[in-house]
Amino acid sequence: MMEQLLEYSILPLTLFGITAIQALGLQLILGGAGLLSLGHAAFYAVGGYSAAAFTVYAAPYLGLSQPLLLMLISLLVGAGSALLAGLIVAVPCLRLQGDYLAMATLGFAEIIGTALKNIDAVGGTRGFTGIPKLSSLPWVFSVLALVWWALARFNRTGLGLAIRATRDDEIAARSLGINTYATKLSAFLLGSAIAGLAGALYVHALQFISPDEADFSRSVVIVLAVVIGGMTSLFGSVLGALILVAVPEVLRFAPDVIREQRMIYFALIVIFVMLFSPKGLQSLVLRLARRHQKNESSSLGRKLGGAG
Amino acid sequence: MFDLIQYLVDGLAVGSVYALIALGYSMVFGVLQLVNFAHGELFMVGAYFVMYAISLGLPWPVALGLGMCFVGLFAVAMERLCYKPLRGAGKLAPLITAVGLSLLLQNLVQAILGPNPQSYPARVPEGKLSQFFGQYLPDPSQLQIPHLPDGLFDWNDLVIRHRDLMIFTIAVFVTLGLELFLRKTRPGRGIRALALQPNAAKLVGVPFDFTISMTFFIGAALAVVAGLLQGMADNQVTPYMGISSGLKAFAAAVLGGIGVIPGALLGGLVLGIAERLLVGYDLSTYKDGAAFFILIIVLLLRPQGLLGKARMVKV
Repeated sequence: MMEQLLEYSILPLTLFGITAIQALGLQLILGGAGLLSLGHAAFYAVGGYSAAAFTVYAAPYLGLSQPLLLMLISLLVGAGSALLAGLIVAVPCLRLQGDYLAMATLGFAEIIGTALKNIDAVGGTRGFTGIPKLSSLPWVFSVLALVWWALARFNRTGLGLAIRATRDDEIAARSLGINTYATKLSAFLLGSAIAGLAGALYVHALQFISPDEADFSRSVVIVLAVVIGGMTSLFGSVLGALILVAVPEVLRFAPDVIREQRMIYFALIVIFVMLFSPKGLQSLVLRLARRHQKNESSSLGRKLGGAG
Repeated sequence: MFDLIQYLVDGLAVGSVYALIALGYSMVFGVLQLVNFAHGELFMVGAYFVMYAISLGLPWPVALGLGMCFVGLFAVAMERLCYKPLRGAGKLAPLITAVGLSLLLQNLVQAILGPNPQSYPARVPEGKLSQFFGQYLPDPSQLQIPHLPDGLFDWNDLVIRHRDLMIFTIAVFVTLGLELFLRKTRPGRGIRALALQPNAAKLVGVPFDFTISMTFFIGAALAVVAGLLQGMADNQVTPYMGISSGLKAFAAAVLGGIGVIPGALLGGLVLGIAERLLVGYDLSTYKDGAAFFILIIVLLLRPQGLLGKARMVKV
């Protein structure tokens, strides 16, 4: 029973780790730089496809067979190709503002999805199969931890601060001598590269990828993860990813009536989270924690007061 | 060359439906700067509502009127319950709520009416619902199903179907009517005032909440017209028609210049024609990307859209 449960939980846990990495990448773009990208899944798909193409087509040619080395290189390939795709999208699109930028990223994602459907070498609409199994749960979680740690460090560097300053007030940031275009570009590129990492992990864990991964609905899931968790912190994005993966999984075990319609409950949860805690669940968690702390300190104060 | 003209004409009908949906996106965005992602689902709900109303034996104008009122009021309720509490909570929170609403409506319709496409005369899927409604649904053979006109104009080989012409004419008249309403009537001017300068509009006595509700109502009612036309033209409605047409209609609204009424029509027509051209020249697998390709090119050259006016940002 326990073993079955463990075996069953491998796939949801892997998906959680991958969604969390995607969300961390988007957090930098959306929460950090304040750019709404509705096409984040496309960079993830580009990373996944290139990494898979590398291990399937290029690796035998280069004579690489050592799995660890191969996986590391394919991670680099995934991140690099997603970064390149990000560059192609960002250089023209970052001149646009707000909702127009959102629309342009959505458009590019649709174009990338359409292109992937039409490339026969990677399976077309049927999807890319026959990818060797190179990554697994430990890989996913190590990369997640690494990305989380690196982003936490990055946020404290000069560039990390400049990104947030640009988000808060672009004109003020420019008057302080920040090159706002460059900071936005670097946030976008870094976020895309992280999505590419997630893609490389995904294809080598599930041994399959289809053009659906570049779909608008996938991008929406990542945006939901970032916003539901609370877009101003890294923890919020990981929390959001956990909720997005866990809620449909848990509802699977619910009674029939609920299980069959779990997408309805999922949608309701999204709406209610936004209505009652528009800054995301992370703020709710913090508020509760603070109240708890206050209660503790006040009871401590009373005790001290009583003693004094 | 001859094919080209034929495809251009065919594209007008597809584009007209996009345009009718795009009007709703454009109006709501103009007033609230909100992308109402659930708008495409209103189109889908409207298409279902009208199809079932007609299948119950109602004449089509009554069915359309009922559908416009029902979906319009639904949109107003949606705004009051889900968007109004989030005013002032930033731009993202209402956007995510809209995505949630879109998911909710799509899955609700799928759960109640089944995931399969429905065509005239619509039947309620097997189960408790069908036992309940079965006694009210009239015999399909006695039903008067309205048809779009079947005839053709034929000049040398250029064929124009009456039905396409009719859809196009309806779209043009609706757009003109809406533009007149916004320019000449008092409530219409209220909508424009709110879009231009919300605070000043409130100061001169434009009823804020009422005007916003009206904007949502009109947008939804137009989406129902689009739903009826699409449902009759394809003889098919599905729970997924909202998401695909909605996304393209939104692209059309941005393409023409969001917040500009004739822009929505122009954007819809451009997208419809582009799609028809790709299908005509055997590139239909690229169809879904094309709308967005054009959109990006236009946005880069004219970020405010084809008919939009650039606004200066003042510090």
